[in-house]
Formats: sequence, C-alpha cells, structure tokens
Amino acid sequence: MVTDDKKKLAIMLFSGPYGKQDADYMCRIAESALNRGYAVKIFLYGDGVHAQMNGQTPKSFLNIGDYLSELADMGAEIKSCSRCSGARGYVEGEFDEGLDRYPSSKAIDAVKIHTLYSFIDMIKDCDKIMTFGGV
Amino acid sequence: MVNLVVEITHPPYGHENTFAGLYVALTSLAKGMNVTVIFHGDGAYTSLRGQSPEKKINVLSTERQIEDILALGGRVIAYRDALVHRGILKEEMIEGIEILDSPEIYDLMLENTDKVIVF
Repeated sequence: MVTDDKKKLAIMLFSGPYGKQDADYMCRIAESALNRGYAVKIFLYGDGVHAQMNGQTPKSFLNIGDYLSELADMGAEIKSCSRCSGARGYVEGEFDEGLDRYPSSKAIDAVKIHTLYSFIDMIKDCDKIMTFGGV
Repeated sequence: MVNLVVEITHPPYGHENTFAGLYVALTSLAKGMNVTVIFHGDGAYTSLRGQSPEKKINVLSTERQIEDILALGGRVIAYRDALVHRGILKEEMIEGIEILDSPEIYDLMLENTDKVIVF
C-alpha cells in the first residue's frame, strides 16, 4: 500500500520492450525500488507503450509484459500515453471514467492507458525521476 | 513550484524524441511548472529557424512547439558548444532561444532545477 511517507519514484520508459535493454533494466530498478519501500509510478511513452502489449511470448528474453504485471501486483502504478498508444493501435474507444483508462483489449490490465497529464502529475509529485530509453 | 528541465539530445525529425520531449514541456507548462528546454548535442539542430516538415514529410513542426513553449513562459536554451560544433549561427536560430555556455547551464541544472527528463 502506498502511503504519504514513502519516497516517490517516477519512471519514464521511452523505448520498446525488446529492441534495447532499457525495459528490462527499468523493471529491475522498479522492483528494487519497491523492495526498498519506494512508491513507484511508471509511465510508458513513445515506443515504450509497446511494453503494455498483451500476450508477449519472448523466447530468449525476460517477458516484459509479465514483469509489468508483477510490478503492479507489488504496488506500482503503471500508466501509458494515450496519444502514443492510439498511434500504435492500442486505443479502442473513448476514455472510460469508471475504469479510469482508455479501453484496450490489446493492453495488459496492469497498465492504464491515460493522458500525458497523468505523467506530468507523476513528475510534480515524485521525489526522484528516472528516464529509460530517452537517449 | 517544480523547476523542470527537458533535455533534448536528438535532431528534430527522424526520431520521435524531440517531438515527444517538447510535448512534455508544453504539457508541464500547462500544469503550472517552471519549464526549461535545453538543446544538447544533435538537439541543437532543433533550434534552426524556418523548419517546414508539414510540406515534405507531413509531421508537426518542432519550431511551432518551441514558439508555443516560449509563448507560455517556458525557457529554451541551446548549448553554445553544440551550436559551434555544428556550425549553427545565432541568426539562423528561432527567436527567443538563449545561447548559454556550459558553466551557466551547469549552474542552472545544479542550483535551479528539481527534475530532469532526457529525450
């Protein structure tokens, strides 16, 4: 459970799940931060939204989709950019206020497709921010 | 108030980085943050005036984004060294972009910045 006294870490992932090692590294850092008591919020941006794809079955790499689901189970809040997700075919309708996300059968439940404003809120509220895949 | 630096290290087109970074800067300004965009390395090419990607490659102009950032009160800075290395002259740059030397940027990053996002 996230409480106000926890240190808050915001993470942006800007590259896809397997072309580079950023997603793998990001997940390991996030797990370590959660184990150290951080409140962790992750935002998938640009090609980073592909990390939310349902049904990933990598043969030689860590399954990033499964890893994100595990991080969410551990308490991480994970959102993705609606504009980037829409461009890549994930968004299947208007924003659902009740579910607090854009609908997508192609994205895992652990990730909420949301507006960029939710990332800006993460930036404002966090104690630390880390970016992966931006360079 | 949060002082945010968005550092751009890619040229304006060919990668999504610059567009995405400037979009974060614009959205952060709209949310009331103090925002400074810094062009570093090949990001210096983004400071060139007269971009017209809409006509040729049908993507949004990063020059328009920079104008919007400046209009909303954001600060836009280019590393002098990055400009010099690439032969970019002040008169070729978008009006309103400041040129700073490395020590001035280090001061800004270390003394007046809370958070940095790199694209």
